[in-house]
Amino acid sequence: MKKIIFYLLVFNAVLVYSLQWPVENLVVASTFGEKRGDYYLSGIDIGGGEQDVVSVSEGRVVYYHEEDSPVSDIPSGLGSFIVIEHERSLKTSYAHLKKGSVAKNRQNVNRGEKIGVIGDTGASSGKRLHFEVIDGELNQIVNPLKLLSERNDKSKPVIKDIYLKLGDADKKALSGRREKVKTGNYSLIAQVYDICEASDYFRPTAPYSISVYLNGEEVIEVSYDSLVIENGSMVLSSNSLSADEYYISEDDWTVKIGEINLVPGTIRLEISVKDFAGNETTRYRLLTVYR
Amino acid sequence: MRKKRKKIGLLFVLIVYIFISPEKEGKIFRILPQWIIDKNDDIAADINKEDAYIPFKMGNIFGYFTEKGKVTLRDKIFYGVTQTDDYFINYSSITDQLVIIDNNGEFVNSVSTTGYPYFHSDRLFMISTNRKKISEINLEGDVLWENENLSELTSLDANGENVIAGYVNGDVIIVNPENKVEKMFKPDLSRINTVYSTGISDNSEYAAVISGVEPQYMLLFRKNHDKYTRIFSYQFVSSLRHSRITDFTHDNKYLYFGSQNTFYCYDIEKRKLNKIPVDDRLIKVSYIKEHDLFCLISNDAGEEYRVSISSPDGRMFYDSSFSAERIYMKNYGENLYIGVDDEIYSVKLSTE
Repeated sequence: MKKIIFYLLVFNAVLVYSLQWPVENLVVASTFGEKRGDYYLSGIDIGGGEQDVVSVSEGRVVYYHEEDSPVSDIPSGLGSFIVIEHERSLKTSYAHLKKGSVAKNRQNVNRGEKIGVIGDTGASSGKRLHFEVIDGELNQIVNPLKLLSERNDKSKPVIKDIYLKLGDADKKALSGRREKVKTGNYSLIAQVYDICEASDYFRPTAPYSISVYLNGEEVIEVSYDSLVIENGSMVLSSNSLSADEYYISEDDWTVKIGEINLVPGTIRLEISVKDFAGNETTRYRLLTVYR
Repeated sequence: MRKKRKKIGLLFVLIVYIFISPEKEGKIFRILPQWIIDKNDDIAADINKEDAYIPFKMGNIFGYFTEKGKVTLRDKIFYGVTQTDDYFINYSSITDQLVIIDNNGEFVNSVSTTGYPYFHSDRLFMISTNRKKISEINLEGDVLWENENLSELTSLDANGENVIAGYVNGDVIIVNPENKVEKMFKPDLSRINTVYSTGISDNSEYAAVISGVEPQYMLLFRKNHDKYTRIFSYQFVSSLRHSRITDFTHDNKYLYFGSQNTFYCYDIEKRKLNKIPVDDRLIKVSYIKEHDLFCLISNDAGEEYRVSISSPDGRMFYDSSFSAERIYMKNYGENLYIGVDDEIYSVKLSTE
């Protein structure tokens, strides 16, 4: 009986959360959790050229802003944007819309109804849609890919350099499969990213999750599921780190995965990175830990 | 084309001069034209540094002019510009460095950033490009405070001491003089409580918030032992879904705000709300304290603008519509500066 209730709840949740993609020609150029300046990208960026943007579900328009609006002089890096509220206080926002295309006269919108056109207003280097989902009940920004239908992606994420850092000392690269390290509580740092399959050129994006195992036991899991506010800063809910704390270097995708305690002996350190489609890359190091 | 526009502009001033001299409190009220400048005029060489510099922004041009009608600085806007009487920052759409320049065009400082600058009440705020993070910095680039929110910033107002900001998710924050960020409240009169506008009086005694959809409310709060408690609310007939003007006059006497086709003026002491008809959107408001008058500019979302001069209780002293591509308004004392396309007109309000 319990099982039936569980499956009913899951089925119900899937129904509630099943959103339509906001555009037809789908090119996901940037993913949730990437670093933008000193904050996280709190949605996904979709390219694919100038095309109609539709509401991902039925809802009510709660806010819109038009670039160069004479009624508000607050600068808008989002350019022209619109926010729609759906069931369960779920809000979706659509930014960088083409000037003049925002469906400003709409109060209610149907699923699939046009609400704008992809543009390059605001802080945008080209035509793209910034799409974002806020769960008002759970008070968090959700990775939109969790609520949208799966897309084709066969590229595996990449793990490049792996480092250990003890206190203020310089970070030590774990270049070989076997490394000797002194016992201690280390910061584990690695260069990890996913590859944007739809792009014609090399374009890294954020992965979906990073897991760390010591001798087969999972000790760290960082997932790019959601963002929350803690003490006035936006942090990844899985590790409570702000973008400035998590990303060691924005340019080469080096992140501080977490802290690991290395005790004397031989330790197999394994890092596994997955993208949203489930493609996985794993790297390991055999560490001889001495006193 | 420019000549034609100039003629329209001159005509406008003449209409103002000839037809507007109604009585106000038993005195003849006059609007006296002072001068006209073209934003493309040459930079004046004989500038008196003691003159007040007045910032202007028209189309893709910004700059400063003096009370005597001389353009002192003019430049093209990269993507956006934010100005005070003393400083400006001209920034591009994607930027990591902001250059603060004074009104003489002299370099003041360069600040590393990832957001857009916003001067308000002589304070410099940085708004992150995703509109979720606000910080305040000084001219040296030191961060005084910062705050991030889950949803987008919709409104911000400040005086010399406090800052008030509102968000799409209904959050309202107040930053106190010690730079401490406090959540004020979440308006809960409507099921959807998005904040569309916020304002704080110069003496910090009053705060105002427009929030909610169907119904939508203006809420006025008064400070009582460090807490703001509601003293007045007004339910709008229709709910607008965008930011709009809400502010207090500098003498803390009136709360004013705009909604569709209406300018609202609430006399705080008399507890009386007056409604003044305007065109579709109220876009500029100037309060001329010396004469207790509001000058309002509204537009129909097209190129038709309406200029009205009204007393707070709704007596109209001037009301005229005209076509323009862009408009500007600023007041200093009794002087009112109105920009129409390329030209700026100075008019003086007086009673005799």
